Amino acid sequence: MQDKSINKKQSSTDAADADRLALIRNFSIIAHIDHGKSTLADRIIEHTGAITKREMQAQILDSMDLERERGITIKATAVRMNYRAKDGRVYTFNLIDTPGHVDFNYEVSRSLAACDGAVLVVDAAQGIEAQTLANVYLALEADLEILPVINKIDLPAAQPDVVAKEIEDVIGLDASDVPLISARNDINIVEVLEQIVTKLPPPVGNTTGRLRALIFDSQYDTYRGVIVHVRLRDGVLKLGDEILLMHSGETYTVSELGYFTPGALLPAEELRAGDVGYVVAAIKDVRDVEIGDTLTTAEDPATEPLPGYRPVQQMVFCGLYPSDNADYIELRDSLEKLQLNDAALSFEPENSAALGFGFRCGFLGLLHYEIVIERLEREFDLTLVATAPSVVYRVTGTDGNVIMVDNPTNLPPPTLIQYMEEPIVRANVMTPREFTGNVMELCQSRRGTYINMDYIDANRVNMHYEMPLNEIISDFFDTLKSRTRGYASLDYEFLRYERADLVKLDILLNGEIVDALSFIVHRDKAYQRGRRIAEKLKDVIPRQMFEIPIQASIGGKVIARETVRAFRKDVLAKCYGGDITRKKKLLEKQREGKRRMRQVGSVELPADAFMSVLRLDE
Amino acid sequence: MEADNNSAERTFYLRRPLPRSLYIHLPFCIRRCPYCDFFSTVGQENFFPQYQKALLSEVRLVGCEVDFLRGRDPEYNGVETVYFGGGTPSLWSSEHIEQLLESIGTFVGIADGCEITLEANPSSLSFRHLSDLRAAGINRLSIGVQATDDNLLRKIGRLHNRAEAEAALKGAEKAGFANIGIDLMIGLPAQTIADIKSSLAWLREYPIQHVSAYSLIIEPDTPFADLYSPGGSLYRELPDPEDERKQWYTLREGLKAFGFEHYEISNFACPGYRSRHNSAYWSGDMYWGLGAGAHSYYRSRNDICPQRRANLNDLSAYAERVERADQISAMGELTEVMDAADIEKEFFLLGLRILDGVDLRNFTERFGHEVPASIRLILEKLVGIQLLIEESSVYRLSLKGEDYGNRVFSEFI
Repeated sequence: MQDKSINKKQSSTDAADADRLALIRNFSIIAHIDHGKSTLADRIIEHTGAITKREMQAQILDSMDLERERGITIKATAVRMNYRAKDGRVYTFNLIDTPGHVDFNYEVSRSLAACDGAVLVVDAAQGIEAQTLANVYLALEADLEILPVINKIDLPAAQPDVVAKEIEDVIGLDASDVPLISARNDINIVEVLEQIVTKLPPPVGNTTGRLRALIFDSQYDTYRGVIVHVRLRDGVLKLGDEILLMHSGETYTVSELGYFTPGALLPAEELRAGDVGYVVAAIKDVRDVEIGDTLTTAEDPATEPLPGYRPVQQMVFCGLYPSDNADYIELRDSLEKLQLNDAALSFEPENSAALGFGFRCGFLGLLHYEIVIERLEREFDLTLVATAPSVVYRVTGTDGNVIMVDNPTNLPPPTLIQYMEEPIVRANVMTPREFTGNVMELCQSRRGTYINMDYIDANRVNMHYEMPLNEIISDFFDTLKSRTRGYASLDYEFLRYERADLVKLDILLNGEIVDALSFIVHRDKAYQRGRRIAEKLKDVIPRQMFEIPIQASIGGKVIARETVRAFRKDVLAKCYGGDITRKKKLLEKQREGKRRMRQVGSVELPADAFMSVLRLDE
Repeated sequence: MEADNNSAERTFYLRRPLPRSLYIHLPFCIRRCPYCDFFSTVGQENFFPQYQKALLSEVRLVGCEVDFLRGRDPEYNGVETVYFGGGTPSLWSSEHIEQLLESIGTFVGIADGCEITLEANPSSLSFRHLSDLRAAGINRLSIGVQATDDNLLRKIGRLHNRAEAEAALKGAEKAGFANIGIDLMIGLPAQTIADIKSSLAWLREYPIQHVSAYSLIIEPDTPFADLYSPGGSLYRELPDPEDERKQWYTLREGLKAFGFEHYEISNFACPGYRSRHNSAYWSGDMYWGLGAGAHSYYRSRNDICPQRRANLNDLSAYAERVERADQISAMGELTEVMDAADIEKEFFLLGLRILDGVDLRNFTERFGHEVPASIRLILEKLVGIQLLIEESSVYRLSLKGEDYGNRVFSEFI
């Protein structure tokens, strides 16, 4: 009897809920870099009146300086808006922003999983690019309805018809009434809003089931602790509920929950299936909240977590050292602060003979690596020495034991290694047709295996390769750009580990191995790389008070040799006329240069020496 | 607070608040030397009278400041060195020089035995002019000989030749100058050790008490920068660094063998003939700097510490500024802002250029407290890498340190 009454109550709730859900649209905007994702987001926020024009700082969603500058989104954010549609009804839009780069594929996929639809922005001049497709595939995997829009139609080079056809041919979406817009100049935005209402589906929610909420992001707040971003699939979450994170197994008590508005959090009493919102539960560390985990109630937990969870996997590692050893503590504090909002960043203390005390840091990919270093230098005002990034090698010892090596220094001696394996990725390069030859040449020189090639249209192709990741992290993207006059775009995803004939290349200065300059390379490339690095080091190491021999060696065998000649003097003659300030400025400049140097044994090395093993012009 | 005040009272610039040196910049040349990056102008002869007038006004501004501070400087008897630098100060008429010295004597004061130097180009030093300059009060000459080979002199775009340099030196001696310095350059295009040796032999024959010897430095934004920078059409003519050093060692050892003391990185003097004016710079002493583009170092009535300033390096702008300035500190722009700690470090940065070195007891005497531990650490480190030599309380450059002086000086930035 009791059961029945509950059921009855629930079914009436369901009816009310269906009405509620019909007025919700949860969506993302996906685009290739620079195609106008953030600008469109800004316009949508503006048009829904969620924020007035005056409050509008361009690109609300990308709030980090670095994000604005690079035009990419590093952290996902969500915004809730109300839109009065032409049908007279008021809809709730939850716009979930996604990170815009291949390094953050998994994060993108989780953000998309929190949506029911996606707005696909394509540049009217540039058409579909590698990341456009990569994001479309992710959206399709997440079963999202995709609403294409063509942006920048007011550009002189705009070809909306060509691009519309591309959307139909390459992606297979109906582009017959695709909105032709200019986000920047506010053209046709209402059409996008209307199509969000008419073409994107409302969420399907089951308020009666056991609570299952997808965690798609988190951020750290000094006062509240971790703010967890969730999309409720089933059930209802109330203030005071005891919650369980299904993968981590930790439980917490909800102290606050609510919705996102631009620039602020709006507390509420409960979140219901279909809703996008935030949860605060006295969680201290973002790493305790894994993206993709499922949040449920501790009292009556769901039986199955939501699908798609994957633990964070760092693919690229490097050593980060303060340029000035005295800044070690500052570097540690800064990394800790960064990690508050970046659970994908890992670091642990490391000690290098050449560089002193620093940290071995793990990143999702090369862009993540560059962003972290740039933020440390800019936001935390640190001067850093970064060693060449390394991938994670799987090393099987002669004793059969398998170890993972992310630091060349930790590679066992060759006699103890049975074989080594390296990560292989699937790389997709999208390029104008005229450059296919160049791209093939480059990919082959980087040990790539050609898989196949699709024609996007008469002029552009999408080339698929399988390639060792360690080739991609050593300056592949820059070289690709220069060989395609900037036109090619790249995305890649991890495939598998594969055996390879790899060796450790050591660099010796003044007869001593500089541990921070060692790296792992394919044997066929070792000679060439060794020679180039020795040459490059000769150029970047300034002359010092004595001669410095530079050697590259494999397992004790020297394969390349160069010498930095000693300089003979370093003195400002003539110091009169009274302009002491100028002399001091010259000395200061010199000293500034010296401050960026690392003392390695008796040799002073400029910070870029460590990067030069990475960046070799080919 | 009490202690701080006492310590401050003991610093040199409060005990002797008035500079003892005065520099006057005469930024006029017949022709620019293609390697020179000092502020100077060409073809501005019409401006001479106006410039002279501006300098006289600026002397009065200095005079006002001197009057303001004189009461706190009981030992003050006028400046002890005056230096006319340029440009080519020998272009200035002896009447103008005399007028300036008179005015300095009246408003600023000139101490007995004051060293009064004029920089001169051999081509503008007739005997007549030399005699008049001597009579006007100049008692030291610094003559820009630079080289003794006519081909070399042409190459570096000098107006004079060797014969004119010889005539100037003889004329100077005859005109009564007993303190004559010359400039010599090394590392010139196509210069050889043989050139250096012949210059050494040459200079023995002339009345020379002081030699400033320095390397050609290719400064940016000079005509030489285009020709002699790496990639420039004449770059290969420059001696390589090894040869340049050999030239330097040859010159240094030659001068020492003649009895010159190598007393500053690039300066040599017969005993008793060190440049007192330049020594003031290297000792961290204060000085007035007058004229367009001139640099000064003094503590105005508004400053806590002495400050470095530079006058505008534009003739008309400078002259206009002088007309409007109500006190000397309104003339120059600060080139940096110094505090007490900067001044202490500068004491070493500059002082170590003098090869006698820096005596830590002089530091204490000057600043009223011991050398800070941070500076001691630097000194010890530099001794450790053999750039400095320590003897009781004196630190001085080693021979190696002379070649790598910047390594030493930059530690005190």
